[in-house]
Order: sequence, then C-alpha cells, then structure tokens
Amino acid sequence: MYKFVMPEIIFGSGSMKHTGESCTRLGAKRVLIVTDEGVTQAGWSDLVETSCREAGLASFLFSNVSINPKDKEVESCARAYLDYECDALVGVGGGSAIDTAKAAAVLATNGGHIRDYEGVDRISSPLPPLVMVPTTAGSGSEVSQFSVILDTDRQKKMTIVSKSLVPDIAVVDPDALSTKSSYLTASTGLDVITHAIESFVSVAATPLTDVHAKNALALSSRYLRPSVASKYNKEAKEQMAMASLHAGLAFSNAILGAVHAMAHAIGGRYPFLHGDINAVLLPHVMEFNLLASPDKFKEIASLMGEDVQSLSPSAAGEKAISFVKKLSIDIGAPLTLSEMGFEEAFIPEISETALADACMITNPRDITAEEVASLLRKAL
Amino acid sequence: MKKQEMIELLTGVRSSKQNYYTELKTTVEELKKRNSQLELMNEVMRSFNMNMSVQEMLEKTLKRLGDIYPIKRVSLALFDGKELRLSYVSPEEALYLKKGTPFPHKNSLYYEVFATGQERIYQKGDTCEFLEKEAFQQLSLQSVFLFPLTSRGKIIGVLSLGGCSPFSYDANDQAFLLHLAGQIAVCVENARLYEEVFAGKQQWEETFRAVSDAILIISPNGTVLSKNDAAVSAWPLEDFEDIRPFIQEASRSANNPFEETVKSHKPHYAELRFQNKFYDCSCYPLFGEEAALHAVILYSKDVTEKRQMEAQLLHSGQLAAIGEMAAGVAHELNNPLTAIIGNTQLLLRRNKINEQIKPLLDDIDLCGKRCRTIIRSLLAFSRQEEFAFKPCSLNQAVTEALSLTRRQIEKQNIQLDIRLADSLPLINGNLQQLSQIAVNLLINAKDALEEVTDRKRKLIIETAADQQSAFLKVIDNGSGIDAAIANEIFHPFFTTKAASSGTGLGLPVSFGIAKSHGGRLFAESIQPHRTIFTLSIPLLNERL
Ligand SMILES: Nc1ncnc2c1ncn2[C@@H]1O[C@H](COP(=O)(O)OP(=O)(O)O)[C@@H](O)[C@H]1O
Ligand SMILES: [Fe+2]
Ligand SMILES: [Mg+2]
Repeated sequence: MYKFVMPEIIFGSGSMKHTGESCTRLGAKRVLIVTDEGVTQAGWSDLVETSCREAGLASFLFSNVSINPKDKEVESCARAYLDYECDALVGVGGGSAIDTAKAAAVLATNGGHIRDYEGVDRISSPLPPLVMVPTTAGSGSEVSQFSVILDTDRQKKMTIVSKSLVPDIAVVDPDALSTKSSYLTASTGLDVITHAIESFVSVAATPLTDVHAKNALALSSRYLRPSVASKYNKEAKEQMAMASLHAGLAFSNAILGAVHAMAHAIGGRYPFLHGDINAVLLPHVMEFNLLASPDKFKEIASLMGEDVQSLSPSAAGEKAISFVKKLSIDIGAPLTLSEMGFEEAFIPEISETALADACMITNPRDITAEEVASLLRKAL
Repeated sequence: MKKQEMIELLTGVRSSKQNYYTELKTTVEELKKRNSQLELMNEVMRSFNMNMSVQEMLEKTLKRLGDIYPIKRVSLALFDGKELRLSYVSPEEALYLKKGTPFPHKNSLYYEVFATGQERIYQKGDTCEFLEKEAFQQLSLQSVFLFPLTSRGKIIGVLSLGGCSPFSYDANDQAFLLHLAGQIAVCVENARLYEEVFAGKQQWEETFRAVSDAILIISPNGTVLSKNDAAVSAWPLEDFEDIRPFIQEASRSANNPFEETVKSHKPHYAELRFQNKFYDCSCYPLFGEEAALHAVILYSKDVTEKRQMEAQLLHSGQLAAIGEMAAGVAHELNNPLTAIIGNTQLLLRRNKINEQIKPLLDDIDLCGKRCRTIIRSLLAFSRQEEFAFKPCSLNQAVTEALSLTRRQIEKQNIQLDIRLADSLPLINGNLQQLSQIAVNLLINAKDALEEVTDRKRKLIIETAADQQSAFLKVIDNGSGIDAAIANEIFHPFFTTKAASSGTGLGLPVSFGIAKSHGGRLFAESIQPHRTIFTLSIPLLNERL
C-alpha cells in the first residue's frame, strides 16, 4: 500500500508568465512573492510580479532569503505575509526561496515557531495557497513535501515533512535556467542526480516513484554536461528542468537516503552549497549501499548509459559509481570535503546528527554512527 | 519497530494534505457557536429590560445553552442573608433536593463555590466526597459546572450547569460561561431589586386602599390622580372629573381647605357637609421637584354618626333637665287642670245653657283636655324608669301601634307597606312604651304626607335584626326634614305643625324611651322625598 502526492504542474518555456493567473485560480487576491537577491537581479521576480499585476492581484515582495534559509528569515517572511494581509504565497527561486515560502506558510496559518514543526506530519492547519516557480533545476522543493530550514540556535538543518507542504501549483519554466552560472548549474545538477539515485534505491520506493526516478536519472546523466557547458543550450536546459521535476516527484514520495541525511547535517554547520556536499558524498554512499540492492544499482548504471548487460550487478554498480565520479570531475564539482573547508573534528557530531535525520530512515542499507563517520572520513 | 513506522509516516498512507474545506467547516462551526453564545448573552440581557422572571430567564438560557453545550439542567442557589438555598431549577422537574433547601457549610460543593468564589467542575468519577454527589447521580448528570454569582463584588449565589454527557471545554468556553454567570448574577440581582420595589409599592397601595376613610390625591387643577376605595363611595366622581365644585359645595359653611392648601402650601382642616353627611377633612400639600406643589392629599373621615351621637347626648342632657322641670310643673298643674276640666263639664251638662256661652265652654273643655294630654305625656316621660321590662318583640309593638293608627293612615289615602321580619329576636323592653314610639313615628309620617299631592303617598314600616340589635324603621316619602332643623326635631316642644295638632313632644319622648331601653333613635332625610326614622334596641342576650 502506498500513496503518491504531487501538485498541479505547469511545465514549459514561458510558463512563468502564468504565475499570476495560477494564483487567481486558487482564489488569491494579495500574494507575497518570496525570492532572493540573485533571482531579483536576474529579473525573474519582476516577471512574476508583472504576471500577478496583470492577473489583477496585489503583490508584495519578500527577497530577504539567503542560501540555506534560516528560521529567522522564515519568521520575518511570515510576519510580512500577515502584515500585508496576503492570502497566497509565491516562491520564486532555488530551493532556498521555495523552502522559505513553504515554511512561512506554515507559520502564517499554524503559528508558533518553525522548530515546532520539525519532523514528520506535525502541521495541523491547512496552509495558504502555494504557487512555486523554481529558477534552478535541483531542489525539487516545488513539488515535494519537504522544507529544510536552518535552526540558527542549534546550527542544525531541520527537515520538515508534511503532505501539507506539497505546493498547490508548480510552474516550471526552463527559461529561468538560462541565467544560472555554470558553477551553480553543476551543483544543482548533481543534487538532481543524487535525488534520483537515492529515491530509486530507497526502501520506500514504489513503481510510481521508480518511473520518475528513472526518467530523472536518464535525463540528467545525458543533459547535465551540456547544460553546464552553455547557458544558451535551450534543449539541455529544458531536459534538466524536466529531470529535476521527475527527481522531485520521486524523492518527495520515496524519500531519500544517507547522502541527504549527511548533507543536511553538514549544511547545518557549514554554508556549503547543498549540491556540492551531495556531489562529494554520493560515490561513497553508493559504494556503501551497493550491498543492499545490487540489481537496482545495475539498473542505475544502465540508465546512465553504461553498457552493463554482461556485467554482474555489483560490477555494474561499480560502473555507476565511477560514472558519478567522472561526471563530478567533468563539470568541476568539488571532490572532497576538505577542499570545501570541512574540518575532521566535527565528524563525530555530524555523524550523530545525520543518523537522526529523517532521510536516513529510507536508506537501503542499515547504518551506524561509526559507519557514517567512516564514510565522512573517506570523503575528506 | 520504529523504522517501519517512520517509513510509513514519511510516505504515509495515514496522512493527507490539510484541507481548507475542513478548516472552513470548523471555523464556521466555531462562528456558529460564538453566535449562539452572543444570542444567549443577548437573551439574558434582554430579560432584565423586560422584567422577565428569573425562572423564565433560566428556561430561555437553558434552551440556548443546550444548542451550544450538552447542558440539560440549570439551577441557581442564592444566598438569603443566612443560608445558601436552592432557589431556581430549570427544567422545573429536574429536582432532587427540594427548592429552598439550604446547603450545609460542610461537604457541600455548592457551598464551597459560594464560600471560596472559585468555580468548580464535577465530572463523573470525581473521587471527592460531597453531599450533592447523590443528587447528581440521581439526576444522571455526568458533568456539572458550578460558578459563583457575583454582583457588585459580592457573591450572591451559585450557578450550576449540568450535562448528561461528559463534556470537554476549552479556555474560551470557560471564559464564556464565567461571563454568562456574571450576566445572570446581574439579572438575578435586578429581579430581586425589582421585586422589592414592587412589593413595597404593593404594600403601600394595599395600605392606602385598606384605610376606611377616603384618601384622594388631587392635582392642583382638581383632577383626581388616585383615590382609595373609601373615596369612591364618599365622592361620586366620574373619571377625570374636576373635584373642586364638590369640595366647594361641601365647604359652604366653612372655608375651602383644598383651595387654602393650594394657595398657602400648608395643611388645612375643615368640617365638610356633603349629601347629609359630615366629614372631617384635612388637606396636605404634596411637593414634587424643586418644592413645587405637585398635588394635594385630601383625607376625609365620615363623622356623621359621631355628630349624631353628640347631638343625641346633648339632647339627653337637655331632656333630663326639662323632664325634671316638666314633671314638677305637670304635678302642680294637674290639680287646677282637674278643677278646670271638671267644672267645665259640670257647666256643660246643665240643660239651660246659654247658647252664646256653649262654644266658649266647649273650647275650654277641649283645651283643658289637651293640656291634660300634654301633662300626662310629661308625667309619662318623667316616670319612664317605673315601667316594667319583659322580653318582647318589636313586631308586637308595631302590631299594637297599627291597631291604633291604621284607620287614620288609610283615611289619608296612604299606601301602607308593612314588612315585619319573621322570627325577629326578642328584646327586653316595655311593650306599651315601645308601641308608643311606633305610634309617634307613624303619626309623624302620616303628618308629613298630608300636603303631598304630586305623588303616591307611601309609608313603609319594617322590622329587622342583626347580630346585636332589632330595628324598627318608619319610612315615608313625605315633606322630608330640612337640613336646617335636623338638629332640632328631638328637642321638646319643637314642632313645625299648627299649635292645634303639634305638641313637639313625640320625638323627645320616643327618644327618651329608646334611651331607657339602651337603644337609639335617629332620623335620616334623603332628598328628595325619603325620610327614615330608625329605632334600634339591643337584643335580649346583648343587653348587659
Ligand atoms: N316623618 C317626618 N317627616 C317630616 N318631618 C317630620 C317627620 N317626623 C317628625 N318630623 C318633624 O319633627 C317635628 C317634631 O316632631 P314631634 O316631636 O313628633 O312633634 P309634633 O309631631 O307634635 O310636631 C315635627 O314637627 C316635624 O317637623
Ligand atoms: Fe537535495
Ligand atoms: Mg308628633
């Protein structure tokens, strides 16, 4: 028995112009647009504001979001929502802006502190209408039931999981990817691949999530390189946008694994890009998990385009691992934690935190704190 | 365990996106509830604008409360200054303790709430031991809320709300119920004050009405603002009729106390005479705002009977003096008069009598006899105490009197109506004397009818009795007694008749006889054409 949840999705070049109209369909009158400086500078929030105006909506801008959104930002965002007497939220940007919008929505109707909702299924009142416009191909937050917020006091990323966090409408416009730096494209692209692999091997994977995980993997394996290579490769951008969407649907319903559990723990400590951390950890975790489901890893290799027909499942799995490693090198992603500035001394603490992360539960291979620590040491 | 459960939670079949419809529904329900609460408050507030009874207010409250909470019974225990008592219950049949039962100071939940001012909630299964528990169980109340009723900072009682099912409540509910208790307290206090005022007013009005003397409150323009029952019969006024002409008429002989009071703003007294009655009348000013004269209170006491008694007493005194003198005079006159009459008759019996002298002798004889009659009457009058008393009936006296006078009466074409009471109680008296009274009264009535030509001449003689006395009434529709001489008719020798027929002794003699029988004789002349003489003699067993 399983359940699959997803929002309405509008996909395609130029779809961003329909954001305002989408809000109207949800009964909105006054929307709060949540975004960050980078997105605003790229002009995307302007575009969304215009579409809102054209749809006859009053709109207000909240752009005080940083990478790895913090509880304080969520609180001021929720306050802005209430002060402006808004009745809908639009997130425009990467995972940070979208997660902030979602978390602020929780506070707007449920009150309290965002810490109160950490964990699974803690939200009791429905959220205001949520329309999400991703401008990176990565987080998948525009379709997921996750919101990851940094608890500044505890220096910890809180994973909030609830069906209520699934947005009402996701507007996925590949055109938005054209303003992304190659560095950011690489980082978020590796997040997509990590989502695809982790949800595919997740113990909670279902045939419905598998379809999306496989599509995400096949598309991203093929189009991440060209997408990093050029801002103007429209096809690559479009396919990566689709890959990210698939990956989001897959992990939202099948959940993730050890890579994300560890990445959240490290992200609470260091302001690293989420995709960068994933890129470094992914091959090590794949090696560790290979034992749990070699057949699935063989399929992964094949989806990546490797010829693995004659190979044993574990040999095929090794191929998948080296594919990931090679991809990271090719697109210039970081290869070790040390080069990013990670300090070994934090390993025990980070291991403990990672072990308690919700994503760890669906990891295919049982794991201990020592095992997490040794994986981190390998990734140094 | 945990892992599988967590996975189920994460991918959860058991959870769903929260839905606005459901949210809306709860909001609407919440609103409805608030609305009902407001309506209820309103109802309670309204009840003291309309002077609704507390019981009625409780019933309405219960009905509304029942829409919001599973409450089936409301009761009020009020402090009467000494004890906290069960005072009101709705529905009225939901009783275990009798109404009015005082709550003891120990082991009573109600008393505890009253004494501490803290609300108390009982839920079934409460392990505390207290007196009301049995009542709650008998009434199958699963939960009971008790709130102190506070009015102007004082706890005046306890409100209890009982439900047949356990019921959960939050801080909002509790705040509302407390507020409700506050409103009910105000309402109860209000009802109590109203009742007090009402009872005071009623008591005053009853007192006002119970006074047997007339009391009227009259505005300076003569309109009667209010009057008691006695005033209704004494002052025959239409509604809103100006009373001033009546007072003016009644105070002909004295000054007008009403006008004096209106003028001087001071109390005034006068004796008024109105329709043959005497009134002691006092007027008092009644001041309104800023010392302006708001109205005049007119107090009038009917003193007619007192005045009559006074007159009678006066006559008795005069009579005694006159009686003594008359007896002496009569004695002295008796012998010469005997000589005059005897000699006159001797002369008249001679055959050869001078035709010219005869009429003179006849006149001497007639006048002599007349003098003898008067002297006999006077002697009879002075010797009254010598007559023997025996049990007898006024009916007998009447019968005897009629046998003497009937012919004369009927000859004068008078319709005689004899109404003798059956089985009239006996009195102690002298039959001869009593029938003399009856003769006197009948002759007087006959005389009064002599001149009457414009109407049927009527004479009624009747007897009656009450617990104390037997009565003889002689009523005629003759000339009547002019008010100016009403005081005089019992004086000896007072007469309005020609010297040949009137002696002026009938009534004083009758009065004397009545008095020697311990009774009374009085006259009333009600204009027009109705004169009543009433003789009352105490019944045999009533006499000392
Ligand atoms: N029934 C009557 N109606 C009117 N006047 C009466 C009546 N009875 C008595 N009086 C008045 O009372 C007066 C005194 O009466 P009374 O003492 O019997 O003396 P007398 O009959 O000799 O005049 C009468 O003269 C008469 O004026
Ligand atoms: Fe991720
Ligand atoms: Mg007479």
